[in-house]
Amino acid sequence: MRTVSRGRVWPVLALPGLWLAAFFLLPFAIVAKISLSESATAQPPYRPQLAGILDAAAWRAFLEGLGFDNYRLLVADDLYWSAGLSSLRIAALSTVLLALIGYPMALAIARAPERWRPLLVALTVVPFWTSLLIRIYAWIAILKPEGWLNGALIGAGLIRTPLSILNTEAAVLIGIVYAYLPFMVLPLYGSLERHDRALVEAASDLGASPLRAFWTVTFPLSLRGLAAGALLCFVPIVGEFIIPDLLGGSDTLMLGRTLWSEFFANRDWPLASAVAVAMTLILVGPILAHRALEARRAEGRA
Amino acid sequence: MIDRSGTAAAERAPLISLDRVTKRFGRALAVDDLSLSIRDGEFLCLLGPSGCGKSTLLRLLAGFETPDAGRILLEGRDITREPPHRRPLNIMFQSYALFPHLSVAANVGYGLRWLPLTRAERRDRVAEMLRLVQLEELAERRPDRISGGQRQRVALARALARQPRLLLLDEPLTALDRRLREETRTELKALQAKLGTTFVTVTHDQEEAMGMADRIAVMERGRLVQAGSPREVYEVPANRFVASFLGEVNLISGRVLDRADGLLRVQTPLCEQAVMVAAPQGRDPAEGDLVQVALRPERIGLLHGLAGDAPNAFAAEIVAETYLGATLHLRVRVADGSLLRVAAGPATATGRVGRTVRLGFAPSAATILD
Repeated sequence: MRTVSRGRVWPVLALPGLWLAAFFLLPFAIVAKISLSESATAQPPYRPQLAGILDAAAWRAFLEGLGFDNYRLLVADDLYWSAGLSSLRIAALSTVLLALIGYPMALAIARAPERWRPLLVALTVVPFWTSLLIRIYAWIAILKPEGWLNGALIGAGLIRTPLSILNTEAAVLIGIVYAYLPFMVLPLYGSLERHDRALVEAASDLGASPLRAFWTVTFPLSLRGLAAGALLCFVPIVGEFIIPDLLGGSDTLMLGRTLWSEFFANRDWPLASAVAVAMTLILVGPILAHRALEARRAEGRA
Repeated sequence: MIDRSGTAAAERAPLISLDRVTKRFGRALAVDDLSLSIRDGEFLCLLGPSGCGKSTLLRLLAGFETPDAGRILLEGRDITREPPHRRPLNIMFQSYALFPHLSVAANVGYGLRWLPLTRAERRDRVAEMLRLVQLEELAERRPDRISGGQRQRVALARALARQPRLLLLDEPLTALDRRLREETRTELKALQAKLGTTFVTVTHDQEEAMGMADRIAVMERGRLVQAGSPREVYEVPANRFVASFLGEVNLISGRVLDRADGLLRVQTPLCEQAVMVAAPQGRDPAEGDLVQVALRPERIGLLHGLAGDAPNAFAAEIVAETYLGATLHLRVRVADGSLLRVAAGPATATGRVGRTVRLGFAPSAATILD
């Protein structure tokens, strides 16, 4: 890849840079600062507060008041460990499910006649026209014991007593897979659609059955799209709040819910901030891994 | 059915034959009731303008398309509905279609994965193929790290690695630059002669077809117009389309006066007296028929001196000349005002635009077309 001289690249990067600084780095710094405070019955509900910006003694008192107690609590308390691990587990499981459902969909759209493709792509995005909240409420109506799903299954004679799906982890997984499917399908479709059709023909001409041609040509060439889709799903699912809150039971622990209850129920802003910072740090891992993978590919290609 | 009773019959039996094959795309007829036999070991070139159905024919042979009617037989066995991965033939794509995620060696070895070979045998075959196309040093490179000419050779090695009975080549030289094209053409022909594999190529370039093929099959609008050796199709074209698609030709309309000793006397606008033209084989124009006399520019000669009564001699005025080194191209105007192309030898004097010269051609140099 050609490197652009620094002098010319700077103005191009300035705008997104400023955007990130104003709307990501600055808020993150504030959250990080709150996470080092301790909760107090005050307004805002934590201390220390900086008494004066130009006062050295005030700064000293402020800095001495900060500490890592919230993080020690996070590490020591099993609740946060299990919420974190449970979030990662649910995110991983739903990402796998999303890949299993989204891949055939993306492949079918990419192999559909060219004039159908824009319509099919549009259809995968149609759910976004309705608010996520409303769509998840609709799932409650579908999944509840006297809901449509149980009604249909009982009506078909497949079951006698209603299945209890709502307020279980299964309901959370259903909701997450439903809500995130476009984020898996679209990047995968983008990568599958670009493939030269002659490659699959070449594979079959060289003796590969359709299944072998898929595993040796189509699939390896779509790995970038799959990685992008998985990242787009996995990262926000770890912090997902609405879906586990509405569809999950009290035993479905996820970081997003924990954070919410620390913040609103317990009014413990510093601890909630510590959870948020910890979650961000956990998610930096997969993002960096994805970037390293992309960089290695770019190197092999250049 | 193959006649195995006599060796002579077996030798003549085609490797692959298309039997009244038709293929439609929507309402467009890509291949129209086409029959063609491809002989074992020959280098056949499907030639025609774009959209004539030659690429579709290749895809039908490879198995990527299924005919709407007709059969494809491989040594007498019906393979019309056999999927591509079961056909003992391989194709080299115009775009080469190299697998971008695999090295050159892995590309060449791809088709060997599904054959019952040991790892060592596979490795040896890949090495042999890379040696054949002189790419041993690039074995570990990715396809996007090698030149266009090298990519073409990788595609060729990959298609030959499975030792196919028949190799299909879709516009094999089109993606190469001009100089490399001529070199590769010679290499391909030498390779085909060395391996004895049957080659079927598709091209729109008549020079390419003439330079490589043992036999040329000319296609027009989904139909096979003529199949024959390069010399046959060039010198005895079946119709005006073939005559004008393969090289340049002057078409002169005329009326048949009579025939004698295998020669036709045809009245043309070239001159007052009738010209003598060899009678076409298989057809017998009657007296009074309107015909076209096809005359290649290089078969018209400049006669020395304005007088003399050589047969088929006529006067013409030179209106333009283009000196091309090996030939001198002339545009001449004949008695009725129509223009002819003449390709004269390099020794012909230049600077004669505006002068009237005397031209002539041998009766065997012209062809009668309907």
